[in-house]
Amino acid sequence: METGTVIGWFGLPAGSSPSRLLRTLLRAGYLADPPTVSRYECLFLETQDGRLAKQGYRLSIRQARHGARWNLSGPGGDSEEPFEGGIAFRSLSPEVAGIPSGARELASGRLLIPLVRLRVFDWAIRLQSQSGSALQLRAERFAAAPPGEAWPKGSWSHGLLTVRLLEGDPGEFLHITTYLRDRLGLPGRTGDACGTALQALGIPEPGAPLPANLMLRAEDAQSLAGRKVVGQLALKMRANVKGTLVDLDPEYLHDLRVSTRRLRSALRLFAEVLGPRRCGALRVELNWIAQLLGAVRDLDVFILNLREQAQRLGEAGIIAEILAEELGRQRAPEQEALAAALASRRFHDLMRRLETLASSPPPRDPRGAQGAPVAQAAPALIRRAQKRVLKLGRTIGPDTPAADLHRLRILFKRLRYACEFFREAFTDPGSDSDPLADYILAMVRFQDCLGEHQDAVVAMARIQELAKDMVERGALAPERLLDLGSLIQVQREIVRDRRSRLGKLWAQFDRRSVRRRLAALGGEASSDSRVGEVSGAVSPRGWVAGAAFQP
Amino acid sequence: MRIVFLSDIHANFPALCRALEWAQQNRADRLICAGDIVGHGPHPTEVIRLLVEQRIETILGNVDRKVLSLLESPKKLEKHLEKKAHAPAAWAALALGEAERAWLAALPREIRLTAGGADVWVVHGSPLSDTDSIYPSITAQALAAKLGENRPRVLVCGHSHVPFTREIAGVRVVNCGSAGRPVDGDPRGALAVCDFSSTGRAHCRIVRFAYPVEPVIADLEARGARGILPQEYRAGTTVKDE
Repeated sequence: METGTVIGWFGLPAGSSPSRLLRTLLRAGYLADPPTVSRYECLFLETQDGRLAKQGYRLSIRQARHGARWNLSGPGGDSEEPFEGGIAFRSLSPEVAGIPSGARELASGRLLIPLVRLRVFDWAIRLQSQSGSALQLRAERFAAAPPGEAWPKGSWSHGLLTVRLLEGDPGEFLHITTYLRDRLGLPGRTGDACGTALQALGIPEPGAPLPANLMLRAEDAQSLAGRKVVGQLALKMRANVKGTLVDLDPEYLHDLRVSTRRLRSALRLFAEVLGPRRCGALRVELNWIAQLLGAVRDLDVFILNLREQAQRLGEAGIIAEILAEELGRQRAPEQEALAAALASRRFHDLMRRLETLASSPPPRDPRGAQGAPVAQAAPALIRRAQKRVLKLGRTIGPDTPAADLHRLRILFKRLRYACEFFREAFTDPGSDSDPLADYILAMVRFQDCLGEHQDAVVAMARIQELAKDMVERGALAPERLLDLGSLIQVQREIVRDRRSRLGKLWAQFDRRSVRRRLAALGGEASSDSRVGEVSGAVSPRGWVAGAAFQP
Repeated sequence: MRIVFLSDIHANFPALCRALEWAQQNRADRLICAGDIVGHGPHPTEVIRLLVEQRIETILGNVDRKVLSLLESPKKLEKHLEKKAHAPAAWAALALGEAERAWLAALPREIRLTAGGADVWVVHGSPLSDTDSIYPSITAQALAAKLGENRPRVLVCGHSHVPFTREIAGVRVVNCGSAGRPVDGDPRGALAVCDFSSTGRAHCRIVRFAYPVEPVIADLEARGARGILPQEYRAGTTVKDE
């Protein structure tokens, strides 16, 4: 243990005063400096994927009577910098002037999102143990509210006691925390004031790992595994709804869309054990929200790609910038429609139905597929998805139509999701060995390549259509259309380049060694496991690096 | 007058806390600990500090004595950790600070007191030795042999971890059992409570109290304490280590 990083948290029940706590500790032989007391309001900020907290940091803006300050607390303690301007409940780019450089590095380019705000009564004291070690005890009583919402009635509704070893023997940290737990009966907590507030408000901690009860185990019956996977994905959806609704960071929308997509895939995969009708009905509803999410997300990706290409094209890239601006305008009504859908009773019902399914008890006496443990059932399910990919994948070549490649991409997604759903059940926590890791990585590479190919194919048609429409409306000067050629040429180059890569990427995916490992999943390989071996024609036909392609 | 007797806490802090709470709630006038404060459990320092804080009269047990004897050759402590017979005491010796060691070294081997006119003798094992045990099956002759010429009204002991109270040939024998490491199949801690009347009569009984076992097991594993298996706490028995 390293001094300064040793920290522990306890709940402070209502009615327990810090001064009474201090008197007890003084009787137990601790020496204390006079306490420092302060009151402030603070707003915690975090990236959408929680990268600050994952590295042990919290960033907040603290507003006290003497002014506002940035506070970055972490393993090394607290650092403060002056804050200028008013507190607004919107996302901040880490490049904005005034954000502490430490926080900027931790965020590494991601937007900082307002997470939760607290009104805090803070009491802190420095203690000295009998062996001379220094400890800090901080009692915080606070009220918490989501950003932009009113403070709850009845302030100081939460209490947290933080113990930190400042210097000396780490054993003294253990002694005092044991004393607080067993002698004073303080309940242990797993997080700081921000984490406690998020938990109390039911706001998921960004990027938090899945709760243990949702983790898949090899011995889980399929009926339970299906419920766990639905539970995991419903939780991820829930975590991204609010950020998407308020449009805080495009990543919320992206993650919500991916969770929705995965859920549809999971409901297809587990339909037999979760009830085909129920799963079918849920997929219809997920399809509805997926289309709305896709409409906005596709625009986001398109705009992002155009802006990148505009920079590369220099002077001729102005057309890309103009089109991106137009698409930005088109995005606003799509986002509004999405927000209305996310706030609707229909979506609320969908979430409730998903969560009800996830928390429903699996059948007590499961029969057939329902009772089969994951270790036994998963390999067959994965191989079924793999069979479809191999069947189509081995027929494609440089001249394969874009529609077939798109179809292959969808089949790849299903296979990848099936592997990812079951991945944790086959990961040995002792050795951290993950038999599916290489396979998933090869799939991701191939799928990304197909995705970029598909984006460029769609972009070619969309750019021409959009430009034509803008000229007709008088929003684009006809002479600008001359630059359109170079922008379309960029898309063509992307298509050609991605096609040229596919052969190599396929060979990485369709490897005998990887297929063998997959066949060995869950123990003895069944007859079904030889799916990848039957045709013998492992190499896809006619791949020529850099082959020209005309859509 | 009500006296609560504890013994064999064996570095189990939650158990000691619950025992003290019981004593406070039941208005004990005095608390006495019959030794084996440390060894086996994960909280030797916490237990000693709480005994000091609460000013609980304590005598030395055989495991405490072993800890002190190991401290005489500190260089060998690490080696003793590898030996099964010495590991619990060696781990405790390494975990204790200077102040706790000094307090332990100053403990008496026995306490004699008078309560409500009754003569009370507190030892760890038996009057013969701190490694000698007194079980419920003890005969009057065997007890007489252990007592010698001293015949108190009440003899209080621990060490065997088997709690009982019995009147034998005019002597009330009270074995407190173990507060922190019960082995009689009941995972709850044990203590003895004696009510002394002004006429010299003593009414003694054994009390069992529940304490949270899981934090002890968690600390045992986190701190790497030696000499006891988690299931022994959960079952209140000893388990043969294969």
